[in-house]
This record gives sequence, C-alpha cells and structure tokens, in this order.
Amino acid sequence: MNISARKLQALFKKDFTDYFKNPALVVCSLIPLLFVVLYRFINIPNLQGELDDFLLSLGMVVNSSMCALIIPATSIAEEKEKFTLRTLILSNVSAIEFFLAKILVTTVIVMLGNVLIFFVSGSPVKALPVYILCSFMGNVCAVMLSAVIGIMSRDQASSSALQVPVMLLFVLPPVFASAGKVLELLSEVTPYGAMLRLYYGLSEGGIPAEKMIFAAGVITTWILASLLIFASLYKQKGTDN
Amino acid sequence: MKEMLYLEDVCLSFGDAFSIDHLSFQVMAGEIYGFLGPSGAGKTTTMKLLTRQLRRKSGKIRIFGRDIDKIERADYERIGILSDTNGLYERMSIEDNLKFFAAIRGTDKKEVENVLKKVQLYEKRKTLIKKCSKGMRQRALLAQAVLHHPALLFLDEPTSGLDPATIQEVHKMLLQLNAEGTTIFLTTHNMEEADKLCGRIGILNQGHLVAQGSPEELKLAHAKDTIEVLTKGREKLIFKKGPESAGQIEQLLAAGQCLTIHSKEPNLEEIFLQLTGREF
Repeated sequence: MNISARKLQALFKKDFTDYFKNPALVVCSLIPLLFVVLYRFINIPNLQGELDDFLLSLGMVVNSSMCALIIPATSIAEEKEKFTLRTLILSNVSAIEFFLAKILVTTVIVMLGNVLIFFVSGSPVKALPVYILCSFMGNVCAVMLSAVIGIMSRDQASSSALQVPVMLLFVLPPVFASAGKVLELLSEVTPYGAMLRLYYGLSEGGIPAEKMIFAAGVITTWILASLLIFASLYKQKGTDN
Repeated sequence: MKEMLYLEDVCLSFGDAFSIDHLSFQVMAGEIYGFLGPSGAGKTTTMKLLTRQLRRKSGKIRIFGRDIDKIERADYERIGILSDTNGLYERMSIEDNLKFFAAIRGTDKKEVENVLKKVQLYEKRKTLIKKCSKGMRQRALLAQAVLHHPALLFLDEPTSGLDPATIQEVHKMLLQLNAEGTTIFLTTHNMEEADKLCGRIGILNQGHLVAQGSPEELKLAHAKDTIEVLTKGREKLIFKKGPESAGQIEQLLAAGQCLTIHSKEPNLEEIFLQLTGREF
C-alpha cells in the first residue's frame, strides 16, 4: 500500500474546507449541538439529577449518527455523481488516499462536535479522556460503514436511501433500550449502545466488568467487520471492470 | 524516436461481443496521434485500457516502453488525461481547483497562473465551477490535465461541445504543448480537427483498426485514379491518370482552355465512409 503524505494532506485540506461550503453537511453537524443547547435550558422534571448524562448520551448518539454516517457516504457519492472521483483517480490519487482523507476529515468533525457536546452537557471534565476514547471507538466503524455506503451508491440520492436504515439501526436501540427486550438486546450489540455502556462503565463505574468487556468486544467486532466489508468492496470496485 | 505507447493484439470483450478486437499500433515520442471512429467504435474503451481504467483480456500494452502491468506510480505522474467523464469541484473556483490539483501533482503553484493564461481563463479564475459555461469548464479541465507538463497527454474528444473560437484556442494550445515536447493521444470524431492537428491517424471501426497513417498518406492511398479539369466553357472533364490523359490535358493547356486542374483526393470523412460504410 503506497500512500503519499502530500496527496493525503491536499485531499484532507480540500475535504475539510469543502465541508464548510456544503450547507447540508454543516446543518447536519449543528443539529445535535443545538438539541443539547436547547435541552439544557428546558426544565425536564423527570430528569432532575440525570440531565447531564441524558444530554451527553443524546448529543453523542445523535451527533455520531448524523455526522459519522452521513458525511462520508454523501461526500463519496457526490464525488461519483459529479465525476470528480474519476478526475482524482486519473490524477494518480489512489483509492486508499481518497478514502483515508474522507475518513480522517469526518473523524475530526465528529470528534469536535462530540467534545463541544461534552462541555455543553455539563459533564465532569475529568471524564473527558475516557469520553474521547469511547466516542472515537464507537465512531470508527460508523465512518467506515458510511464509506462503504458511499462506494455502493451511484449518487447522493441512492446514498441517502442506504444511510437511513443503518442510522435507525444504530440510533433507535440505545435511545429506546428501556422500551423492550428486543431493543435492549439490539442496543447491546450495536456500536452506539456499546459505546455508551463502555463510557459510563469507565467514567462512573457500576457496570459489571463482563458487560464492559462484552461492549468492547461488540465495538471491536463492528470495526473489524466494517474494515472487511470496506476492503472487499474497495477491491471489487477498483476499476471499471 | 522513443516509443511512448505500444499495443499488440489487444482484445477486450464485454459478454460475447468484442469491444476491442486484436488492436495493434504504436505512438512515438513527440507525435500527435489521432484515434478516429464513429460513436461506439471503441475509442474511449481503448483510452480507458491505456489509462488502466479497464483491464485488457489479452495482448500486450506498453507505456514509456514498460509493460502496463509493471508500470510504477511515478510513471503515471508523467501522464495527463482529459476524459469525457472528468469533473471539477463545483463549490470551488477555477483557480482553487487548479491549485488543489497542483498540490496533488506536486506542481509549483506558480504554474496555475501560467496555465490559466494559456487557456484564457486568468481573468475569470475566481469563478466558481458551478457558474462556468460548458466551454469554460472544458478549458478548466484541459488546464487541469496539462498543469504538470505531462510527457504523454490523453485527450478524449477535447473540443466536443465547444464553440469555433474556443476550438481554435484549444487547437493552438495543443500544438504549443506538442512543440514543447508533449506526446498527444487524441480521440475524436471531428475529421477536420484530426487533419489539422495529427501527424498520424488510426481509424477504428467496431474494435478493429481499419487504416493508419498520416492524413496525407491516407488521402493519397484512397485517392481516386482520376484528374478533374474545369474548362473555360465551365465543362468538367474527368481524365483517368496515365500517359494518354497527359497528352489530352497538355493540349487543353496549350489551347488555353483550362481553368482548374485537380486530382481527386478524398477528405478523411470520405475515407472513413469508404472504409466502413458507416456514418459519423
């Protein structure tokens, strides 16, 4: 695998600045933050004493799902739709450089959003390193899966159609885990549920070690699975054949 | 002269039908080689094979004298490609697009200014791509393809959809690039363009190379065996080439009856129709 640092840097810079010029993606990143700010100033009686955790969980899951699952897929699909991907490939940019830049830019944007949400939620600062670690792990597989959706999609419209079911699968179980056994089980085996469990276990305690190991295993399995799918699709779609 | 491109017995099929059928030709350094043919003849497919967007089924392809499968990434830095399916970033200006591709290619950003002047887009360099006309986009794409002074330039119908004035400018630029040492492989179905620019031409039909040579060679090879004389009485006389006709024409000349004398060489379009029976 041959990666040029110069090309990766140019792609990263282009993708990062282009993100700020794309109103749809900027709004996508601002919604979770606005949600958390809004809820901060609304008096929710049932959440007295648990507001910080509620805001953090809600913000982290919504931000992660909206940004990590949407940005790479939409951006890759747009490059295919507007034929800029072909111009890049014909300019000797390798597919791995192209995808790596997308993944890095999205990771930076998601993590920036998550850190802002952490501070707005009022969570204790000492939990920040654990929070960064857990949200990073939870997001890596989402970003990779989003890149897979981007590879599979012909254009932005078909990319949106594929993003929605994945987003529902990742977001609904952790949010409504208490509503039933099926959702609780799904929450345990999907990355965002596992990410939250791992974070609260490490920062606040009270979660049995075997459940934390299971959560870490779930995230690792999702990361490996998304890497495998990504690598296999990347190989298949390498040329026009 | 150094060999830049070499194809020997190259085949490619989609399903049962051959798209490229035992194609062989070579392009030498410093040439402008025109690849002509009607839509669906296999021109773009051949270009995709040469630029590794498609893989051949069989045969040999060499670029810069090296087997295409063993070619290194650095060699591809010496190639420029303008294909009909290239695009530029719409939310970026022409200049920012070129600066980005200069960074990708490792080219000095000062070159952006030079190339913008060459394609006559310097005054409009701040225009966003989404606000550019088709002609401006095509010129910006051409600028992107030549930004790094490629040794070998692939152009797939570079003037398609452009107005005559812009076509003239693009032709001027291509001739200048060629004079500076760039070898050009040009696919087109514009016969006039091929005649004007290309040192050699290959005519492709249904995946086969049906003729190859300089435009003059092709015209002479397919010239009719007749001479046409227009007399003062506006009469067109057709003579078969040969000693007998020479005497008759001489007599007409001596009598001051000849207005014009023409040998009948076909143009490239007629040659193509003669070879394939197809229309453009």
